[in-house]
Amino acid sequence: MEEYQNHGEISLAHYGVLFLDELPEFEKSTLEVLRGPLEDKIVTIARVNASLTYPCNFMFVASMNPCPCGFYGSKERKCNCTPQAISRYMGKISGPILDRIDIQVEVTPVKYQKLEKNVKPESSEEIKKRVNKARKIQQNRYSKYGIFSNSELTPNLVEEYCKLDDKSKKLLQNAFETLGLTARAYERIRKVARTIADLDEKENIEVKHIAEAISYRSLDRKYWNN
Amino acid sequence: MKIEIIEIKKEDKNYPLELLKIKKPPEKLYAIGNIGLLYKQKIFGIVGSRNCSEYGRKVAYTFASELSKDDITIVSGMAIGIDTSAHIGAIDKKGKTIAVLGGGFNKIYPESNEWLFHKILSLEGLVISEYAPNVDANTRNFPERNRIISGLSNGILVVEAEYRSGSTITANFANSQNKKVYAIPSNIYSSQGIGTNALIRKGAILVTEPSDIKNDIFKNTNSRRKKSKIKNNEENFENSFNQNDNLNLNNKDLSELNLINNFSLDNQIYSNQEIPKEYLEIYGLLKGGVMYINEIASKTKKSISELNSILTIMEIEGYIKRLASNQFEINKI
Repeated sequence: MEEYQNHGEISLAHYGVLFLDELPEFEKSTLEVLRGPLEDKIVTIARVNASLTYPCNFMFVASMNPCPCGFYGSKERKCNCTPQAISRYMGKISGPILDRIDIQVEVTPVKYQKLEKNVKPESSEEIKKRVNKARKIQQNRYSKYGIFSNSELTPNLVEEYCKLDDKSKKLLQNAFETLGLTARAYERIRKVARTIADLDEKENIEVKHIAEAISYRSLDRKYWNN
Repeated sequence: MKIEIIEIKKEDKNYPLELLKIKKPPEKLYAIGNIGLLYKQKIFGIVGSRNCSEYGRKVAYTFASELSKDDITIVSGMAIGIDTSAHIGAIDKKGKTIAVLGGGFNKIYPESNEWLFHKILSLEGLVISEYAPNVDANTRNFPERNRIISGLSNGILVVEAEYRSGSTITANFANSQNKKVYAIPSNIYSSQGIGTNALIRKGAILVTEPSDIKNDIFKNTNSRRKKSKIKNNEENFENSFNQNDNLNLNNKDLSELNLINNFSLDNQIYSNQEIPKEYLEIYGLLKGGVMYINEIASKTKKSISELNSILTIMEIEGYIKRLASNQFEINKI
């Protein structure tokens, strides 16, 4: 009976962070398994004798290169990958998985000299303060619902707390038409915008918040909408 | 989807005349889709290497979509790379496009482009091949089918070609068929541009804008041909000077005007008076070329999150384009 107590990585990450480095290097089937748990926050493991369900409310974080050689899109180095190789690499991550990743950020390669003399960045300590403040706002706001953060909002609560003004609605509409986002992204963009507004300590979501949230879905459209 | 294959023999009345003029016309053509396209007046071929750069893909797309707007049918080979971008460019502007395959219809090559095959057909395009439906696509056949691409076209544009690639073969066919060959110049360090640059050296016409092609062969072609060569050249020279002056002026004015106009369209977020001045500042910066978001941030002294928001709105409004790795450039289309 002992084997039943063996939790997988997903449920070990309950209330924590699951970090996958070099995401496309994982087996495609392994990645697809994540879809259910990411959505439902529970994982069901079926064995011969029993089927067990564990909780797994985790934050999913992953990193990857833009292409097998790592230089696609770089101004300084030439990328040697063929278009097929790039699409095969990116294709490891299916659209549905990508849809469930709310924030996708591409980082720019930085030259060494620039690292040193660039403007002083915000320290992690300051960032932590800001983040905690935003978390507090969310906890207070949702105290009666038994949830902690914007990511846990149900569709009904999204309607209530992520209201958009006319300009934002228009922007989001245009974004779907011109940038080719998927419909599934709609609610998630609103949740992210809510978080950005919280960080900004604003009561309502404004155009700039929605715009920033849209910018965090760059992978969605670049590689998968050919 | 039920697909009906139409066979056209060389002796048939509906065999396209243009193809009879070439060396070794195909004995039989297999066609699926809108065969009316074969008899169109304005047909233009866009070809290039399969292993192309982002630059080449963009050029192929832009030229195909711009030419399609003028009711010019785009022919290409439905291979990956430049060909695919050319077909998509035409499709996106609801233009017509013809794909000439190097194999039979049941053996679409590459398989990953089957969606394109269906897309072309669903939008009243045409797919033809000189091979029977069950013949395997063989890369050896590709140079052969290129003679059909150039044969059908009034002229062809080679977007990117490596040294001795299939596209330069197409250019040779076109040349021997007395069709005009245009080429896009490439960075001299890029291996994908060696063939095209060599074509230009050999006399292919260098083009940098879709209007170069439109003005050259899709206007007054007949009347010009009759004139003597020298006179023709002189006139061309003069004309090109005058035209260019006008063009440059117009383009400049347009782009500046556009900046204001675009924002004031009905479906835009900001009305004319409201255009924040940082938009103009960023637009001005990007005029200097492609920039990373970090560079824009250090020049404008704005935070990345603020910039993300501004750049996204500018992108949605159609002003700028986001490239890989958070780079941005002015949207020229």
